[in-house]
Amino acid sequence: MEYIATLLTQIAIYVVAVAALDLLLGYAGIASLGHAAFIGIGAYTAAIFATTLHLGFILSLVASIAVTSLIALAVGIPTLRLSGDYFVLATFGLGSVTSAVLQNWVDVTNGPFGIYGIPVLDVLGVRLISPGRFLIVAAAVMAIVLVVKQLLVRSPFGVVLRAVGADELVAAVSGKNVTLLRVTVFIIAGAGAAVAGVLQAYDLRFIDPTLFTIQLTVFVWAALYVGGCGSWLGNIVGPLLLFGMPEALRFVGLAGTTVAEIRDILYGALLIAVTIYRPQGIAGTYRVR
Amino acid sequence: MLGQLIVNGIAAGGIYALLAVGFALIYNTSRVLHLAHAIVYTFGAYAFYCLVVLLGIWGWVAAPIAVALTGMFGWSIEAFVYRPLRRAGAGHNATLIATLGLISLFQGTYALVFSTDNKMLRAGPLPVYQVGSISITILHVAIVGMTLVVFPVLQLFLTQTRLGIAIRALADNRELADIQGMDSDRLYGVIFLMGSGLAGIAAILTALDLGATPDMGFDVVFAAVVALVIGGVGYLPGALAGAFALGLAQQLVVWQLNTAWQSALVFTLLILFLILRPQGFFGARMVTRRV
Repeated sequence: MEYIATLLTQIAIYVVAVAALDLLLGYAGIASLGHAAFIGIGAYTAAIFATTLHLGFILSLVASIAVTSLIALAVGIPTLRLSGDYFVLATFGLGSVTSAVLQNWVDVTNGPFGIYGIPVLDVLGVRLISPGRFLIVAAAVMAIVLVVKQLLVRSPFGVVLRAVGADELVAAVSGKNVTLLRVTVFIIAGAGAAVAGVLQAYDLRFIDPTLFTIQLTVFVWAALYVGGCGSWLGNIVGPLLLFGMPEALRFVGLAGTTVAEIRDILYGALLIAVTIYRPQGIAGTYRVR
Repeated sequence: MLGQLIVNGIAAGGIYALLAVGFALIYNTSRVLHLAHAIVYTFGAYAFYCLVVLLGIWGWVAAPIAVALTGMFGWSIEAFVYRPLRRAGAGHNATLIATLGLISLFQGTYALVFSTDNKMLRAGPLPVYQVGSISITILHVAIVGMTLVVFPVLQLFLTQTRLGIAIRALADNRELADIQGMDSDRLYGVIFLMGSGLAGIAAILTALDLGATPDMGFDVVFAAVVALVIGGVGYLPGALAGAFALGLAQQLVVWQLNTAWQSALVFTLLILFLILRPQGFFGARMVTRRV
């Protein structure tokens, strides 16, 4: 049971990350390869605030969202004016520079050793110490994030967001401030990524720079795309499937040490197959162009 | 010290140049942001490792075989992934997703087959020539020599041969090339074959010194793409100049600061150029498509 709960906790955390990316890539058509960087920045901010300033969960969550949003703003303003491939390159660079900072800014991030001893959560006096217990928090946050996302995409803001994703030029000609909208959704997605990062930090209680590399970005992209863009159900199906498949392999009896590699191979192959044969994903409504 | 760094910088620049020009060939014709060039590059290193260390083939024979295999690997990525996507009318972001899928698929495969340990291709230090206080290894010479051979040959190929001219026509305008009766699928195949072969050369030259790991390709291919942005994407000599400039700049960072900040430098240069001079130093603009 504990094993299932641990797995479901991870899935819930990834649903949050995927939902954030969906706003950016699925709706607005902005291809950011910096998603792992924002998850990492969120996780590290919360971990640092929690271990050095002893802030509680809510406070470090808020602080983390604030810091990540500011960084997203600072990165977004110069880069989002770039179009297409330039932006992809810039965000890819953001990912590698974030890894370098996490590895080398030892005074703050503790470098390659990572941050230990992230406190255990108390909810209504219950210490969530056993591995599966954190599921309650993760699932609650996931539900909130999905509801907020649905409200957002049905609002007038969401309509314009889709218009920008479908045809930026038409949206601009219709008098919409496309750059402002792109920066706004970039910040929202950054904040969402931060939430996923904070959950990850509190679930694992130990983070290091290797968790937040380009591979994480690819994984979140894969989960979003396989599940399908523009649908809350797709946002859940993707992580469920990508986590479920390798676990199934474990039961078939493939050695534990190679699970990570087999997972990479499986979701890479799945990603290619889906782009060719089912571009809207399993439960999606949108086709990423 | 400075002299040594300049030598190292030129060698690094040569590797970037070989990768950048292959990437540019592919990008300018197919418009695919082929980030999976990184795993093609890594393929070259492992192919050479298999031939030399596992099969015991003499290095000078193994190198051209490994380069040819890498070229064929690139060709099959075109034929089995990008071509079906093109036929299905997939757009820019969908192709990017497939590229990421390729990265994940092959990085996992390399790690599974070869483990994540560094596979050394040779034992002992490289033969060194001492010029004053500067030591120049045989690889430094080979990298610079290879760059000096490859670029003029490529320039001649693109301007003087029928195939080269067809490739440039395709880069200019695919519809018109199709109307002229050119077989664009075959041309894309040739381009991926050539670009990947160049990546194979770069990989062997790097791996002889540093060995092979599954993730060896990312930073170096990213640097090569940045070199391309610096030099201007559509202009071969610009790519060459950008690659050497970046290689030297990185070494100066090592000298003044720390190896760790190399990737920060690459990123900063990328952002500066993208914002201030997106057409590159020499003014050949990267074409981006809307929608």
